[in-house]
Amino acid sequence: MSSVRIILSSLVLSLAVPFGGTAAMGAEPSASSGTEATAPHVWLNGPFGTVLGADPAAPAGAAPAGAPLDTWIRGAPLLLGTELASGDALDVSVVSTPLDGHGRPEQLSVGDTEFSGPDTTGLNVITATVRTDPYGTSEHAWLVVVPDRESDPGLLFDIPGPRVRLLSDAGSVDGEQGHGCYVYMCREVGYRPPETALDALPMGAGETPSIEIDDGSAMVGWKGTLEPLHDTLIEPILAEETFADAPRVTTKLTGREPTVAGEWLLERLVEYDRDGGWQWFLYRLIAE
Amino acid sequence: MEGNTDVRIHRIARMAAAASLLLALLPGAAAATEESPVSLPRCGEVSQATVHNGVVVAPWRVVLDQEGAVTGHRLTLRHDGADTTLRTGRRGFSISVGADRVAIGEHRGDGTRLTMVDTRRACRVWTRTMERLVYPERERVDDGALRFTTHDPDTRRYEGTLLVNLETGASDGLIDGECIEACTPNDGDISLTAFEPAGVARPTPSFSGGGWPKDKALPFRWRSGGVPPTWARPPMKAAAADARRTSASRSPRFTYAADATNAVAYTGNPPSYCGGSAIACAGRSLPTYWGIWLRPHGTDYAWGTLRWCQKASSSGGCFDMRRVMLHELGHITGLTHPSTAGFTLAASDSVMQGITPMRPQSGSSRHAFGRCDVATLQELYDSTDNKTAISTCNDVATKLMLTISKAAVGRGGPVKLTAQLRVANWNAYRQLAGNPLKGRSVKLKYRRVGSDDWRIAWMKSLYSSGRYELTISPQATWEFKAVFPAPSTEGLRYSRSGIVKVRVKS
Repeated sequence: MSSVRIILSSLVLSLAVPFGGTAAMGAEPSASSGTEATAPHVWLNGPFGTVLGADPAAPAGAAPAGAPLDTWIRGAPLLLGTELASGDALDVSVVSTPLDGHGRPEQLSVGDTEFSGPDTTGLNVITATVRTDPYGTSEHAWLVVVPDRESDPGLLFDIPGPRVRLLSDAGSVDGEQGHGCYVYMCREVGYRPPETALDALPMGAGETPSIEIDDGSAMVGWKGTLEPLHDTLIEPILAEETFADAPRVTTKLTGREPTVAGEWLLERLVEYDRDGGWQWFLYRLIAE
Repeated sequence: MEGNTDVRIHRIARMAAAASLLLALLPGAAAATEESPVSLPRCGEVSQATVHNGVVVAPWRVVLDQEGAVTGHRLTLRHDGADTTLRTGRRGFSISVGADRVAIGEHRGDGTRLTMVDTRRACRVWTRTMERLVYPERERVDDGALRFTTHDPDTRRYEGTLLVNLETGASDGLIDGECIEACTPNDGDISLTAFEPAGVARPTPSFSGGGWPKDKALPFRWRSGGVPPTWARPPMKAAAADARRTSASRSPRFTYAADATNAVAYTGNPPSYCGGSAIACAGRSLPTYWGIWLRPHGTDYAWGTLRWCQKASSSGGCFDMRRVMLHELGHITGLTHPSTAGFTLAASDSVMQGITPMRPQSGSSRHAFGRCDVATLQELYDSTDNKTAISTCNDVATKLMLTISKAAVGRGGPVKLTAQLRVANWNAYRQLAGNPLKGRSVKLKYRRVGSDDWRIAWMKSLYSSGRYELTISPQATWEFKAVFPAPSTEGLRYSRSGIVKVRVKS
């Protein structure tokens, strides 16, 4: 069969990647080639999600928009993953180098794909040297920022999910969170709140709203429903959009405008990049 | 946010009723002409001169009846002052393909009809009918093909991902899997044995990378500062036992232990992500740590007051804490919400729905993992043993081999026939791959050489290694094959062995 493709995530080493979807191959910059032209993809998973490695000469390239990856605590649990089949030999060495010139390089792991992140607060470059039978040796790097927080795995559960704002010409409003999973946590809701409990976003009838993530992460897709709250003649508008190859921090909801004046309800599921998870949000619009 | 369905349905019903009344009163508000996509002219029969400019494709609309129930869908093509409205029944769907194509599908009882419409010329490029239920995938268009997941029409079992050529409608192949036989040409007759189903996108999905080691003991204590009240502890502990009892797999074992590291809290001060409207949360940091938080009875939300059934004095309008706790333990184990992958499952199929049902809604008091939860757990952690039933929410290929102790014997000489039954050794089945299957029913079919008259005997399951035996005393030369019929009680596929011959020497 000509079109058969094996999804790489089914072949990854049996890594215990916390909450998230399948590895977003291609959603991040390519890994460095090291000494081989065909180096394996290598990704790092931690409180910042799952991110492919960058060239050690430009480690900021691993993160969207070059922002350092937030480890949330000192000594955060990190996992290194590759696209190799489980039977392939893999040898790894991971070093962290502080960028402020004060700390000393820290050996994070020799041979183990599960290890603790840097203890030195501030900006660090994590460099993984990976040697495999089929590919030879290659290097992969990530720029991380280590906050001055205790090295306590329990603190990982205090990572707040990003706020997802809805914007119009008249202002913006944060979405009411529904159920979802984000990095290490999943949340359940009972009922959804009554519409009157939601902050309303004013906008013009026919105006195209936008959505925006506020914490530097990005979305790879969304789907949702826009429906009028009181106008009985207008049917709900169902829509969805994916952009896994080019995650976005903000996007216009073109074609999903409130068509007439009145109150509207927008329910949206946002899927985050870096295998960060997904989340339902609820918004109230007042079109004038 | 799919909550408070009742309120929403009533509101929609009121809207629909009012809409119907208004339409009836408006002069000249005659319904627009609507047609099925397949009634469009074939594009080959439409002149290029009929290409319309300024085509607008109105959004795909849901049509509701007066009770607020979906009765169908509409898509309107607006061009040159004329409207062409296409309609489907209530199980329709549409997929936008570039600027001037839209694929319109409709599920029927036993399959799916799909039509590719050229919106600029208002004609159909192709129409095809498939004998499976196919659903658009999230990333729907891929390298000149539409992507669908395919499901058995009767059992709704997930079968794999299908690629349909945008230009011809032919099946180009299957991804996530490996064709055993050629997949092309394949005009929609997808043989169940033709491909290996994917290890991803299960109805109850799992977090990528899996979970804990098999049979891992994951004890928990009450979190300091969040110790549950006396009435709340039994349902929490009972849920831990439910997870153990109903996973049919080697998933983690949850038990209460006062000195455990992992903690369960009953608290009004949960972690940040669990604030706001959440009634419960679960968090895990593999491979070391997990926690669960449940909000207290009486917590006030914008929608009302949280009432746990174990505390509430009435039997309705409350959440079953034992059920909610089982759901959270499902997250710790590695399960996510079915809606993540676009699935809406019956209450009996999963306890992992994102919206917690309130008593007396269906599933609100369910204290067991559903069959689709179990299917995922078995792939993540392996089935409990070789005799444990494979969940009917799965669809697992089997392999059957037949060997004989002697190829030639004297008349009446004993010959031992041994069949070996296993799960196919494919990566997609993860922990189940290659497992021996014990205690199933394996038939031995036999016939005289040159005859088509197969007779049947049953083989005995003897060993945990999935071996089935039968000793015979042949009076003549016979041919034999072993057959494993697909059982209705398990998610296992039919398989048969090759034919072997036992020759009786004269």
